[in-house]
Amino acid sequence: MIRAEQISFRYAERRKPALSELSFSVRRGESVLVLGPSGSGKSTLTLCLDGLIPHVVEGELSGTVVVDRLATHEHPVHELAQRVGVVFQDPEAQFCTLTVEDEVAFGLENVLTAPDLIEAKIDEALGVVGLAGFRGRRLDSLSGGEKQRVALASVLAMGPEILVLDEPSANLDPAGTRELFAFLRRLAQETEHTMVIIEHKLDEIIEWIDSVLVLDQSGGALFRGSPRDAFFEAARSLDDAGVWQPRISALAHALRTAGWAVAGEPLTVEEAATALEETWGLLPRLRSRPSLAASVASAIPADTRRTDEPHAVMSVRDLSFSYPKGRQALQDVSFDLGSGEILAIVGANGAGKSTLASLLSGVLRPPRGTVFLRGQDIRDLKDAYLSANVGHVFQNPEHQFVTDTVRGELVYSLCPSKRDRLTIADESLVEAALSRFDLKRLEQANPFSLSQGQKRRLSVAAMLVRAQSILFLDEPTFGQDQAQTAKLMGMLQELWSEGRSIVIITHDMDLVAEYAHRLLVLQEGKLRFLGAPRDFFARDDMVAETGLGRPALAGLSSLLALRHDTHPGLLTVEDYLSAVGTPELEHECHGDVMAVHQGGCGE
Amino acid sequence: MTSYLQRRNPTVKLAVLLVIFGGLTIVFDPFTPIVFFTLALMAAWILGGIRPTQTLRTLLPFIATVAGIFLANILFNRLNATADALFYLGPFKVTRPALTTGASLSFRMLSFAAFSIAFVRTTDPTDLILSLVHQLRLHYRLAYGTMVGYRMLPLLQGEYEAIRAAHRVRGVQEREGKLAVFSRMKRYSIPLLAGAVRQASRVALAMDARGFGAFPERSYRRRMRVSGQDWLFLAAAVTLTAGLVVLLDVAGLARFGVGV
Repeated sequence: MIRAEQISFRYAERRKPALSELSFSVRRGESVLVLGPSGSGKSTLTLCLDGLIPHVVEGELSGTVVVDRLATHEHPVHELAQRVGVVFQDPEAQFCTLTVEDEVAFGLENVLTAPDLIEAKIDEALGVVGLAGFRGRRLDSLSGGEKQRVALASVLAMGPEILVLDEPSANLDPAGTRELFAFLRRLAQETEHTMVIIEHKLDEIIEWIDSVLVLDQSGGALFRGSPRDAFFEAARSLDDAGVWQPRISALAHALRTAGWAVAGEPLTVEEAATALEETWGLLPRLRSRPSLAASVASAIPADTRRTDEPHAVMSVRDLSFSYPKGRQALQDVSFDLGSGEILAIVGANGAGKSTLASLLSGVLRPPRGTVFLRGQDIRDLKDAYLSANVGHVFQNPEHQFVTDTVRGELVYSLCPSKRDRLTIADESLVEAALSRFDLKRLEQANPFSLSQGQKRRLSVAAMLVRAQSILFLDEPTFGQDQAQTAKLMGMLQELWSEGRSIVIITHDMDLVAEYAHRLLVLQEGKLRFLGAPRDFFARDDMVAETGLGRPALAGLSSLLALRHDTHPGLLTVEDYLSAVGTPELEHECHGDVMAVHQGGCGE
Repeated sequence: MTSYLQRRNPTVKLAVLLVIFGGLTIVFDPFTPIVFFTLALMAAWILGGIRPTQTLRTLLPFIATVAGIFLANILFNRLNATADALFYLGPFKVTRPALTTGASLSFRMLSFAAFSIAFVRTTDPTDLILSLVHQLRLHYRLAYGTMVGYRMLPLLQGEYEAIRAAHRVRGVQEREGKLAVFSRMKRYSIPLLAGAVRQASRVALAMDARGFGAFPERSYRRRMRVSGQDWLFLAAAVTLTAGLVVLLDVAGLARFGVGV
């Protein structure tokens, strides 16, 4: 269905090629997952598949791409558009009209479809994506998940056999993401569509993925094969490339490294449950609560476990807030932010997360008597004092750049007024920040010219050079690959270990599970849950009602708890490892186990 | 239930606006604009379902301009020197020519605004775009480009708010006063432009990916037409405009051209 032969592409005015000598093929009806580190040319590949490269985007293309028996360089985009449909990351950036029906009709009209045929096709496409009653709705009245399904319908209406999806869930909240994935799964399994999907929420889609294509940093193919081979045989090289991998397979690897003879190659929660059940001696360890409780307790710092702890750096009391246009964004929210904790704020889109963070960091003005910084009402504090204590890194790093150089950004943070008269102490702070965030060789570069990961590091560095004790970050890992995420989160943990408080707003439940000490869940402006993430994910009612869902490892923990009465609060690979420890060496099976283990995964 | 004006063809409504605006620009007395202003309020109410209070509320920002027009005339109208004072506003002489010119200009402006409000509030943006293509033969690429731009305005507004907030957190002090607008423009234009250019090129790619611009023509699910009702509306509007102007002239109230 798709055949790419030796394709290389270099954008006009760039020196480095985005794709280099990439060859692969996809059969009819196959669902291919495309992975790769940031800048490996994943998005460029989508443009090659629908003919925008070479017909629209300027650059040099060599090699051939054949889709549905058409060579892309020989056929115009509109012809290819009826065979390959592309859904982009941001639904807002692909809509051309104002209403659902006009949007679905747009492509059909472009290729001169007869008007009476268009009506039928609109109904059909909306029916397929489950939005039959939405015809007359305005696009701006839809939720994120609905918007992305309209985008899909408008592409499907043109009748393509091949669907290309470029991080379709990136801008969606957890509920929207699940809704979209459930639909994509049906599309993959029940229709003949060939699908190429770029996505990093692997645990949620791995079940219906037929094969995996991994690109490397230079834009060539690092791996092409089945998901099982990708995440087991090739796991090491994927790791080195900084590519996201399912948490489930990562757990299997970690348990084997610890000496457990985990059988098979589990990728889904169900498979992992079976594999752990069949691993000799493992379940009893998960069931022995006392040792587990102890290990769980040791995993989090003692002073962050109580919700009402004495060393609160910020206190919020009965905070309600409405925007001038009358929408109530927050209602009676009260909590304390502890000194030296990592707090995650989660909730659906529109639940009030960003509003809450903005009120606490001084971007918005809270009502008097609701927000206190070390006991003082922040309405009584000077702006300068507040910003010396509280930092806020926005979702789009570009928004925060105010100077022309990387170095200038850091200098500006230290003294906005007298730019060129830095004290020696400040000078060394700038130097330290540059090297800490790996920006030294870029110090004279323009902030807007950096890569996405570098921009993010710079925006954090510029905030932190002032040594603020509280830092808010809005979706800090958005659009970053596994290696970049690990690097950034490592830096945040380092800052936390220096005693600072870090508040992360996110849709990424894996991030919550792995890094947050406490979790604050907002639902329609109200505080729904405040406590340890493990306590939240262990509660079925909470997880279901808030629509947040569980990360894969928490799901596995809950499933095992249901079947075997084990402890349900394991969220990370480390949690599992500390709960199970190492297998007993004196056991008679031990020799065989090790043999299997060594032969099986080649550690 | 859609109103009478909502059901009219947008191009026809534009033509009616042109006729009325044309009529208003050749008249220089205060009475004609006042009559037309009343007409605008009534038409919006009866034909468009917009209550006069709603229209007036939308016109509130124009009050400052109206005050400015009157003030300028009281101070600078060239007939002030020769005309008798009606009354004194502090040290300033208020004359009849100053007031009539002020009223004429003010109501002319308010009439323009009131008719425009009636047009905007009864016209669906998509209908307008389609009508421009179907009736005025505007090229569809230009028309759809305009619509995409229209879609992006609220997004840009949001972007602007976000950048302002982000800069405030960085400790950027916004200057107060008259020149603040310029320093703000300078500060926010680069991130705003960078975002807008990226967004625009993404939309352009998405449009191309769906075959936009493939053919000199495209088909339309919905075609805007000029119905008999539309022609009737246009004829009635022209007759009414001309009739009112003639009537006011016969009554000796209308005055054409500048001068006494």
